[in-house]
Amino acid sequence: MRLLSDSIADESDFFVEQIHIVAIVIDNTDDVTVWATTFFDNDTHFFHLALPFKALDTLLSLAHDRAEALQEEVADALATGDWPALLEYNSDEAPPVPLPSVALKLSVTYPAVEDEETNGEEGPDDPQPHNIFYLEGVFVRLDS
Amino acid sequence: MAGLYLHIPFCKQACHYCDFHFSTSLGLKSRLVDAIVQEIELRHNYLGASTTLETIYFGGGTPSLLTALELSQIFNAINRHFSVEATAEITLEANPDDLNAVKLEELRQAGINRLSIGLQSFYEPHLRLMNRAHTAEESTTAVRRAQNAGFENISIDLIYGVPAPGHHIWEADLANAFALGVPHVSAYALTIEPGTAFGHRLQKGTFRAAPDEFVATQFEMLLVAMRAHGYEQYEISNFCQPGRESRHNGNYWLGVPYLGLGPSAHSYDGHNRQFTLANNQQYVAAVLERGEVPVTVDTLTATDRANEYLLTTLRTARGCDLAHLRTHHGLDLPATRAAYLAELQASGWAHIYNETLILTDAGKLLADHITLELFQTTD
Repeated sequence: MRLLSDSIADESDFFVEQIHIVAIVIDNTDDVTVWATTFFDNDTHFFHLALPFKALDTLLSLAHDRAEALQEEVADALATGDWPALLEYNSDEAPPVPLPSVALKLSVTYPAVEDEETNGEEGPDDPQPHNIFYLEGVFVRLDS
Repeated sequence: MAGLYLHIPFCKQACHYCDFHFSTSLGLKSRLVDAIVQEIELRHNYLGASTTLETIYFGGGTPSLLTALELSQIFNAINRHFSVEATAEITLEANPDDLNAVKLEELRQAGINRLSIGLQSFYEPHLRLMNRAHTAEESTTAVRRAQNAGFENISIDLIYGVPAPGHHIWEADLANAFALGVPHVSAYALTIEPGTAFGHRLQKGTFRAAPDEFVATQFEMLLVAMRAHGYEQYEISNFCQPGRESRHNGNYWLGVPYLGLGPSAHSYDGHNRQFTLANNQQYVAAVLERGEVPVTVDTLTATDRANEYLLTTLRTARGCDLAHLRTHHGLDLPATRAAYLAELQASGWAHIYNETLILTDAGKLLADHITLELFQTTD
């Protein structure tokens, strides 16, 4: 398995398909993070996806027969108020969640450059992208 | 003028926050409708001999579970015993999952002219958390369908303060609500009551209520957003486009008499309150088999009436008319509670204008506390 950030061509938005959700991380922010994989070039690529709760709801609703159970699990995670919460889907009991016929449009993010790190100097000219991507859109392939 | 409230105590499933009287066992529904019809026969004089109804309100429970036939039975009984104002506001609380095209047409034909739709949220995990019977998609489609069916007078219910790491879900819920363009919104803070599913989960440690500051922030977001979209806050939990207040609820706050039918319903004749037994089987048996309605009369003392006036008016945008309180209820707050009234104003929680005590936005957050502080304890 490779990191998706090691395989992107440039900083343009791009699409990924054949996605599996392997974890949902709910922390103390307004966004939620999904850990996922995508398959292309004969290899599985791992990435983090940062998205608003509403978009997570959209993604989960596309998980077909697992949608309802996933939404219940997120509801339970919200109920305890015990954040950060990690919901893992990477085992025989809770296998990765496929999102069939779904394409995600992602945008690249870069690490924040802290003042202390740069010591007042400018950051690197060519920073390495994060393996965290923002969700720009969710697309569903309609069967003809 | 008077109002009629009908409590329909049935739901498809139990919402985890709800502590109203209801049953998920629908087997008794048609007998209970028979009993309500009979109760109309037995109690129609409660409001006086020739009462004209200005408002009729079907609450619950889930009144949208009533069939066309059951609604027709109830309306026939109402029309036999009451005059109904030509422009009466006739509201029915509905769950989104019940509002298909056929049901909407039945409601319209029955005479319902206002729907109060219990959306609560547009976020699926929150709906699942609260054990609502509808989906997030149905929250939107139900309102659209109702509008397309000709219902223009629609209120939607929202719940804030539902646990979440941040406020984006509530922000999105508000945006979705405004996009529907309905004239009335009721928004309630999630409260955890003993005996509810949330109450049990709280005890077991599988649920944690959102902190007070989190809820207060969402209330403030609500006020700001409502104002920005042209809605007036005419009562702490109720917002409307100009002139679109709920007449039925408004009359409660004005002390207009009303008759409450069905188990757990309350009635008010302008002097005393009555409340009906909150047990479906015993209510049906008493009404249909013995021809009596199991009510308890709550005789209001002068203190009770003064406190009720305070409780209801302080929640409204009109505020509490201190002169009315003095002349009608014998309570002279400026004389007896001058220090506390001064403290409320100095703290920015209330202001007094033309002898009317009105809570500020900050004061509305503390409305219950302020009201309790002003309550009289002895006659």
